[in-house]
Amino acid sequence: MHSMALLGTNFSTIDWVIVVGYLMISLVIGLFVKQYTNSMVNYLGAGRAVGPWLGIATMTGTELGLVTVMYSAQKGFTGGFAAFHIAMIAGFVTLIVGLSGFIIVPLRRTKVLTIPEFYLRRFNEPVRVLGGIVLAAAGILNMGMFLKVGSVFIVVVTGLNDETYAVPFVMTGLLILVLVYTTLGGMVSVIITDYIQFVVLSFGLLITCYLAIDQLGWDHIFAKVEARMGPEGFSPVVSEEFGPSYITWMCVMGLVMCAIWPTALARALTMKSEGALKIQYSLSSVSFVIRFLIPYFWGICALVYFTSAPDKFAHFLAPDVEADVTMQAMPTFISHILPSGLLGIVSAGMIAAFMSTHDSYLLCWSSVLTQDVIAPLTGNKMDDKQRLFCTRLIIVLIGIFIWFWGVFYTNLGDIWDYMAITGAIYFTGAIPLLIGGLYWRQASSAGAFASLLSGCCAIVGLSPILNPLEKRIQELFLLNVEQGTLLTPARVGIATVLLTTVVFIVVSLLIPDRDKNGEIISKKLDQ
Amino acid sequence: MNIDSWIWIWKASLIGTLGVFAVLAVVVTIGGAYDVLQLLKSLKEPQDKS
Repeated sequence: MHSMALLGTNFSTIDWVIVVGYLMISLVIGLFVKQYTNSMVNYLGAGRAVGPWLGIATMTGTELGLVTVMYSAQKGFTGGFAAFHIAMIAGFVTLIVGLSGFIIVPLRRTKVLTIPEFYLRRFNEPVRVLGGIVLAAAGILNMGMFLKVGSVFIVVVTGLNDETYAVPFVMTGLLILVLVYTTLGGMVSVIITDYIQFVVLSFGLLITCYLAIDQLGWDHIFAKVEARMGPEGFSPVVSEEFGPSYITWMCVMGLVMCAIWPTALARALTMKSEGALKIQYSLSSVSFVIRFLIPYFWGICALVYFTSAPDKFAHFLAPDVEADVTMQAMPTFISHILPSGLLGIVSAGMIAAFMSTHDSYLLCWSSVLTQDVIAPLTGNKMDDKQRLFCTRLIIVLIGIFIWFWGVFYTNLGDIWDYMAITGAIYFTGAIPLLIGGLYWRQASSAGAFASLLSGCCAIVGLSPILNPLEKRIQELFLLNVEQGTLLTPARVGIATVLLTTVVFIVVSLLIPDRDKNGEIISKKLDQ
Repeated sequence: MNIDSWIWIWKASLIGTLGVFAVLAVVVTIGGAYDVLQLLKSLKEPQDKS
């Protein structure tokens, strides 16, 4: 990591007071709402009593995490305005899902608390347990970078000396804070802190955009990107970083992020009515655009800002700049353009975003492991109290894991691509299970089981596996193409989705579900 | 599609989305506060009855 102390920051004592004050308020809320978490339905599903406006706030609070802001800003910094297509696709797909109720409405009617619980009701116990294991494994791996990335943001914005143990120290502090109030409050505290985060961050995002445009100049931003990147900075079709297969992959990701990814679906399952659910999703489509679009724009503005002082920011502008440097571009930029006070508010909002994503993810994976793996494997004899204890214990264990992962996994690379492919281990199998399970009567348990297993092929998309594999294929077939152009994470992801879908259909038709008399049965959950 | 068309699209997308989000932020802030009160009330009710 390059020394940020040389670059300076506007972060001052007043900003520290704002940040610490905000974190203390979050902790008090966690303690206050503990009185409402007397059952698993309240702890995990907020009593299924969330109204539409709070639903939008909490959906945004969960999905607009600090890690999202960081990886999106990185994408904007490296890909320019061409990265905007990801945001527009995400918003459009969410709007379609909201208007049609595709997946979310029939799933809510089943009254399940978790995705694997749906697997149990629609398929059978082995599918539920395997689904729970795959989901939790992919999810925990997926959030492995969160703590590190969030801490890098704080260290860069505050100007803490990165030559010391600033990042691990910040990681530890943040993790303790998140663990305390997630284990105490459950979904109710998550939802209420999501709401506060929405308020703080929404206005912080908008004001920062205004200040960035005011400082750099609206037309100047576009002109500078055009001068530096040419058409590749605007067209995702011609961009080397994106291209048609990447755009197709983003269409899949758009559906996954709003209708397949369990933390988003967990919000759908807390809504008090189908009408509220549709309103939540339709209006949240704006948030699904914003959560990418604004950070992309900040990353682009950082690029423009750095090009105005190329000597000072030379390491950001080098042709072979590394991913862990581009990740620092946005926090460096905002620490320069935001005045003290406002920088504290935006940083507090970002830390809140970091915490809200963490608590939602921790709650989601721990509840899946408790409800859908441990409870079934122990004969479903655990009572509510034991399940609550187990969920809280797993939250702490996951917290310890991501701390170690953040400290020892140093090869970050492109964060968005890493997250897409780790998430794919789960969702490539889950897409056919959810859609087929809700809309296709012939979908069978054997097909579901095989589909979940074949989804694990997505792990090939991780660079430590992908790069040697691509090299080997090139040697075998005597291909002379540039490394990284033949096999890409996007192509692996699309291929895995096709594979799981075909496996699901074929195995369901070959091995249908049968009743006790051996007769073929076709299921559809009561609606 | 030429570069000017892309620039126009992204300018319009950015301005349009920021505008809609600004309105949404105000509405959700007000409506969400009401929903928070309702949520706490509904969670409290079963405890009060017992």
